[in-house]
Amino acid sequence: MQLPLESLQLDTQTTSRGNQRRGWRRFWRNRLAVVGLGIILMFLICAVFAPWIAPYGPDAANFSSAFHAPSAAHWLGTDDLGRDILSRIIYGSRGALLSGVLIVSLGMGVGVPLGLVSGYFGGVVDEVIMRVVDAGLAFPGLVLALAMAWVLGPSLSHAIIAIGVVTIPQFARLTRGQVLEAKGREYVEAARCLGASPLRIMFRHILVNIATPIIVIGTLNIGGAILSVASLSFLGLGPPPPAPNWGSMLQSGSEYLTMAPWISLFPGAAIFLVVMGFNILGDGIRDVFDPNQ
Amino acid sequence: MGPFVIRRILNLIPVAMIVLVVTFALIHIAPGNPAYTILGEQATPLAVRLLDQKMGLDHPLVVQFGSYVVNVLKGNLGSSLLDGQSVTSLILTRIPVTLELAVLAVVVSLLIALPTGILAAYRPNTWIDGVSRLLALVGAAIPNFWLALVLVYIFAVSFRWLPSLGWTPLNQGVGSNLMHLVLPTIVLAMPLAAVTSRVLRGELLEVMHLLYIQVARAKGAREWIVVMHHSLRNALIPVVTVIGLQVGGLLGGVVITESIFSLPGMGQLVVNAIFDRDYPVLQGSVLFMALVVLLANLAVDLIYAWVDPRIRYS
Amino acid sequence: MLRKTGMAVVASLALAAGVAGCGSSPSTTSSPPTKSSAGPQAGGTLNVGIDSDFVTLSPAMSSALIDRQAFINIFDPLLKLSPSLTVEPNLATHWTITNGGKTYTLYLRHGVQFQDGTPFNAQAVLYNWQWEMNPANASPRRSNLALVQNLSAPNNYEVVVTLKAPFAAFLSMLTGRTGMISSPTAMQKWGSAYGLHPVGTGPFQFVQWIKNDHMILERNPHYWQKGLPYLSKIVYTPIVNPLQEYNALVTGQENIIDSVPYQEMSQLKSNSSLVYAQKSGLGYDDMELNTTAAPFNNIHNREAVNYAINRQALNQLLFFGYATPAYSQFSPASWAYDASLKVPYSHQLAKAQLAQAGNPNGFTFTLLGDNNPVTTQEMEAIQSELAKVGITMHIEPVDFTTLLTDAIGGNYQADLLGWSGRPDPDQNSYAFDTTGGSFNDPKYSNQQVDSLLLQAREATAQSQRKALYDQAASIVLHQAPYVFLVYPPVIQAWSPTVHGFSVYPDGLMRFATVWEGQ
Repeated sequence: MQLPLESLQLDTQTTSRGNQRRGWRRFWRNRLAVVGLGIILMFLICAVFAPWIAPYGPDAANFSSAFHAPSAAHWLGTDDLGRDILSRIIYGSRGALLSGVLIVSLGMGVGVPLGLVSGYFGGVVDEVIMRVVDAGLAFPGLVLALAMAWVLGPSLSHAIIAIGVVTIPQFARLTRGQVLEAKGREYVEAARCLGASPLRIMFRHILVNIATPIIVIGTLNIGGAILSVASLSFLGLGPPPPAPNWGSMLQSGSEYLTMAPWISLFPGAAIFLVVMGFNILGDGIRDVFDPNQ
Repeated sequence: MGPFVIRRILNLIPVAMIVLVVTFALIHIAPGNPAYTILGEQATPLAVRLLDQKMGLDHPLVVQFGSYVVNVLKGNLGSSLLDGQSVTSLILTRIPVTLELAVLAVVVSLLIALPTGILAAYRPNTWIDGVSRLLALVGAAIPNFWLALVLVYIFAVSFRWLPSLGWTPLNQGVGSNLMHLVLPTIVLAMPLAAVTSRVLRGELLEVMHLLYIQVARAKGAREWIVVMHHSLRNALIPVVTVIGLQVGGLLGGVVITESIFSLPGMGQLVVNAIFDRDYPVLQGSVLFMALVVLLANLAVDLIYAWVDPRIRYS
Repeated sequence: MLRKTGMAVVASLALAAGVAGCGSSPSTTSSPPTKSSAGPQAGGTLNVGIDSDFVTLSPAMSSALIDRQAFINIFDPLLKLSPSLTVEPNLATHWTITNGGKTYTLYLRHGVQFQDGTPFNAQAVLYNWQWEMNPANASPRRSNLALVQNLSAPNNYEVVVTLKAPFAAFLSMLTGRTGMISSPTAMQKWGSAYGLHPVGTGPFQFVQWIKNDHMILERNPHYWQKGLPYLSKIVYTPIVNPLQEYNALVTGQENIIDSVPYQEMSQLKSNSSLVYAQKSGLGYDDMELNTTAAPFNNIHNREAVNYAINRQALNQLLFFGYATPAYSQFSPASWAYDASLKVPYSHQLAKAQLAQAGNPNGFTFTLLGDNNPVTTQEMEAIQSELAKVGITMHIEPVDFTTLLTDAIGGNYQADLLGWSGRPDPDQNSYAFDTTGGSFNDPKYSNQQVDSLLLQAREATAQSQRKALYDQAASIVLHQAPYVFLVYPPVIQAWSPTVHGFSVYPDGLMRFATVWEGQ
């Protein structure tokens, strides 16, 4: 489930550069936000250097050491095939971070231009795009993503596409709102008077000015995107095994909840931590731009 | 007001058409023949062909879509491929479960969000605000399926205080009904409470900056009363909006929650339809959910326009 | 968690083997029920947990294994199966076999009526079978009746079945869905919706079915066995997640469950407030290898897989030792089981086969399997076994419909499907192993096997049939169109307040003589 973009909408238009600089200082003083950044950096390091950090291979099954509780040899225990859970979580951070970033990129990559065009031109173009966007927003995101991932077949890239597509209308609507506001501002008027082409105005003038809030909200949404991928994987529509995917690990581990709770608890904790990291970070960045604080 | 309402409602028609196309297309590009679901182990090519004819799956897609739209307009959502039950009646039997669960979740989320949101706005940037913010961040980040497993493990399996799954209708005892819904409600309410609490705080802060509040304060009213009376009333409208806009997210959460707790609601219907390849049931229930979201959004817009006349332009 | 293994096959249900036999848990019940000596009590509601929801309640249209849990109590089959798998009289009180095994005359019980008052007689049996044989009805039973040449009813209580060829499994089939007769009145009344309104002659009659929630049966007051059943009501609740199903028994929400997750067995054994029993099942878990497509059109690649899998290790890991390694289609519960038949687990032999196949360093293939955690874990275990000899196996979890579509269509390299098993060995082999057989997904063809299985089907003496099945099973094992893995056992558990219940190899829970007490 994702946070609704609307509720996180920020008003950067009124934020002056000086305010922002003061904001960033506030960000570094905001211990919580720095913790969030730390969490994400930690997972990022895990993802990049997984082969050097992980004590075992992600798929190194060893039937004789299955279901071992956390110990010195296996800090987070072993799973139902005797694989090291810590190693699988470390390798799993690759898919998690990558899918989060790709989903938001897909949503923004398609949604932002749609919103730009819709907001800038208005009229029939706007009507058509917005009706499609309305239809897209009418589907409960997870349900639509579930149905799409099922049609495409279980794999990480399909889950990414399914969730990414579902976020497109959100970004389109958000962008359109920002464009409508920006359209009336002096710099747009000025550019138009100087004879700039619509394309140039849209991308060189408006987009540059509204980019910050969109990027901030995009960052905020990475956490939600990771959570959605985990939900699909939990329902059996993640990457096929033995890929070390957190949601799938949690799903298969849930069969052994009474006997070996660590198999499902630790991957769940990993999902929670990284999503929390992105949410805290996003919250902190938002404060930077929020003049009300 | 009148023209706005009419335009807003007319807008629904193309949107609903696009929704129809999406539900139809999604399902018909899916691989796998539903005849195999029905015939199971005994699916011979002949039996499959006969069944395809019986179900009309051998017609061209355009024809199938045409009859689909006509039937939907007549209120006929088709019947389940598995057992022939009418999709409309399947949905109707499941609405009470999902509705009760959703209403309880919204109530519980408000019970959490109102105090935390108000306190946080009343004392912004203090430890109270910090704790409330942390709670909200935790609530939004915790995977609901994980929370469900942990709660079942603690409260159903270890302590045996609550049932681990299932549902009893209200008419078979309110107590038993509510006991079955405690854990699902908590799971569903958590993320909703998180968002609502933060929105409430933000709105309250904004409203409190408004002049008339300062006037009220100047008059010597006690601060607490100011918060409760003046700010809250104004801030609750956005909260209602958030809940309205969260209907989609709520339905998504319902899918996971009902599946984990074996609750016979809409969410479970959708998931089972997906895994059974029961096309008409999937189409019908996704369509129904989309319409619910559309109507919820319409309601939010209309309430907003009624409360705040400035909205009615564009 | 959301999958539906409901369809017949594989892991989750009622399959085969823990040789342990009927080890009704040596009633570890610490405070033995004092009242149980008082004898059966009438009344009470039994809450039954089942591992997936029913698909249809019409025996004529059913192909899902789980449906049979309901049928066995709503419909009385013409013949019944004893716990030791012998065929016994039921609605058919006796029978004769004439014409060289081609003519079966069934004599029906007098004075039995369907739950709607329709009399049960030869016409009703004929009506059901003719309906099932009509291609327009697309009944899964049609293939069961394919050998029928002629049906007739000389009088109200006599059914004469003439077959095109001798068929040793015919009587055994009548203990299953083919022998479950529906009220013709109800079938006509409801038409295609009959699957929602079943009417049989069994001890319990249908009341209500809310899909994915529950199904209610109540006592049939006109049941032909006087004084039975004892229970007044049965409520079936589908619980797809095995651990949740077990939890529901532990918390008392259910009184009895149709399967127990193996990882909970040690907990169950130490739980004095629960009773359980374990029996060899009828089915098996196996991999199907498509013999018409690379890499498994090469017999040596198939054999390599056969040698490379440590079945005992799989049994320990996935079944916690409760299953039995499998090397044929005949489970330890069957008289056709041959305990001496096996292939060794040997990396050396596997590598030798790989070399003979011309790919000494192994090959790559994709295994299709049902998308549920239990099957997925099984596939991952196989994957890591094969990796040890250099075979790279990709896993493709798909939903059950796709799995069946691809398996039947031959659109796969290998799949993990399994078979729930039937009482007669013919039902577990003929359609799977003979050329063009309806379940022959590997498209395997071997004239010798064809001829052995045909002889076994037409022979009458069990010893003669056993010898034929032994030969056929050995050929199939070594040619490996299937790689048999394990025979899973049937394990069921219940609360000590449930009395008179016994576990059958087919896993079906028969409640006619079950009663509840303290």
